[in-house]
Amino acid sequence: MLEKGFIGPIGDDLPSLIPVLLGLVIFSFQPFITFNAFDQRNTEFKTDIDLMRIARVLQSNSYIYSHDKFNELCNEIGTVKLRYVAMITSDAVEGKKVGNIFDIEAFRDSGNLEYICSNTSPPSVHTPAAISDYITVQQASGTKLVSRLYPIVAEDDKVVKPLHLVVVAWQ
Amino acid sequence: MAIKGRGNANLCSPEVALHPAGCKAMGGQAAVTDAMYFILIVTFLSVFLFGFANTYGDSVREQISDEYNKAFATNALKVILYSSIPRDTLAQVQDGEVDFLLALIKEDYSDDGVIGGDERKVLGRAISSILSPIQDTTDYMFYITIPDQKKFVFIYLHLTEFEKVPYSASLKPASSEKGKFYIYKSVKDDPSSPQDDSHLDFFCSVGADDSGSDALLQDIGYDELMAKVTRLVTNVGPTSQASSSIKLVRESANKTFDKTGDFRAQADLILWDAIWLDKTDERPAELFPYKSPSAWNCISVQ
Repeated sequence: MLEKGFIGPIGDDLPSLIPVLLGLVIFSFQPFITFNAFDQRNTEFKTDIDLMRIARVLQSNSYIYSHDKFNELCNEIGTVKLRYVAMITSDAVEGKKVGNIFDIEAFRDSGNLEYICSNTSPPSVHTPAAISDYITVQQASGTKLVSRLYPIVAEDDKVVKPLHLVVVAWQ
Repeated sequence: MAIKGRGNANLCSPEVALHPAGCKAMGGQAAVTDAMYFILIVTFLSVFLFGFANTYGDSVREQISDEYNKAFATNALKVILYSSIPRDTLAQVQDGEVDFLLALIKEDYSDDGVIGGDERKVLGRAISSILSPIQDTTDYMFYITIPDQKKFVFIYLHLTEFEKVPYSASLKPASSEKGKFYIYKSVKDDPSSPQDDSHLDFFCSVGADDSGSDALLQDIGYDELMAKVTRLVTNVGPTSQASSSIKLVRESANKTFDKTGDFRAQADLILWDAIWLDKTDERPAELFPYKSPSAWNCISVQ
């Protein structure tokens, strides 16, 4: 005799299997999504902290008394996983209108020396050097780029000039 | 839980057990209920994890930002105090004889106990150029005080100019002045004009005879002005501050720098995100009187 409403041991529980499976899928994927978010944030923080460490070494006590001193400070930066370029610029103090960070140019002292510190070798460097020589807008669009700017003074020909230290870092 | 009776016909009530498929049908319903409970718990856990992941690291980010802002403010103050400027206040820094900015201020102050108009402009220009990279988003105040004498020596205030635009409830600009809510828009600078329309710069705590004009400057005491400055600073939101002790001197009557003319002064730099400082519905008294800056003994920087 046919049993009304009875499909079978599995068939009877079929409607319940759908939410159970859906629940299992959500339950399995959620940790992946969460840990991925944690990882991403931690990488961001590490980038920020590394960049600030580079800036702190280069700033020293905010007084750069010679180009040699700047190079000495540059060599004190240990190995970092980031690629970076740090340069002292006079653009803001001289009132130059800079469209974006890539257009910032390096300061040249009275001996025509530029204050640049980087762990990457650009294909070509213009005169004066600019951030765009190290990373272009196109290259930056495919990576996470972080930048910081600090006021700094540099002594040039016995004149203590107010300038800015720009540090740009990317993965 | 509704699991009772599932797969066990013996647990069925006699009435249900009379129907050949009765207990099994109930078992199917119970399984669906269980699955619903399961998905409910999973959803709750997922929402919790999602919320946690979303806010993860917010405090670290805030600390990193605070650290940077503090470092910026400290560096900026050091740079202001270290910088060289030409002795001729109209010349460029590369031209002629140069001196430390602070030395020039000290020298000027020693004569008559006030910073003269030209020196004030030089100091204002130096501060403005050092802080120019952040001037569009950040307002700031630099001041020098002699706390022991309760005296403001110099105040430079950089503010962003906003316009208050009333909006109706349908998110359209209201025709009347009274709107449902307001949006504070920063005034755009006209690139064709040489002057900066989007910002206002002031020298404050200027003596009436030193303003160079007949501006209606009021006689404000140190305590009153300090109370106003404190009210401003405590109401503008998060600030980054840097302070430094400096020394000012004053010539005595016999033209010597004796001990009594040696003051411990203090230079302070305070930065904050640009906000509207005028009256609002919740704030009946403005934080800074844009329309009558003379109430702070302020004159506009030309």
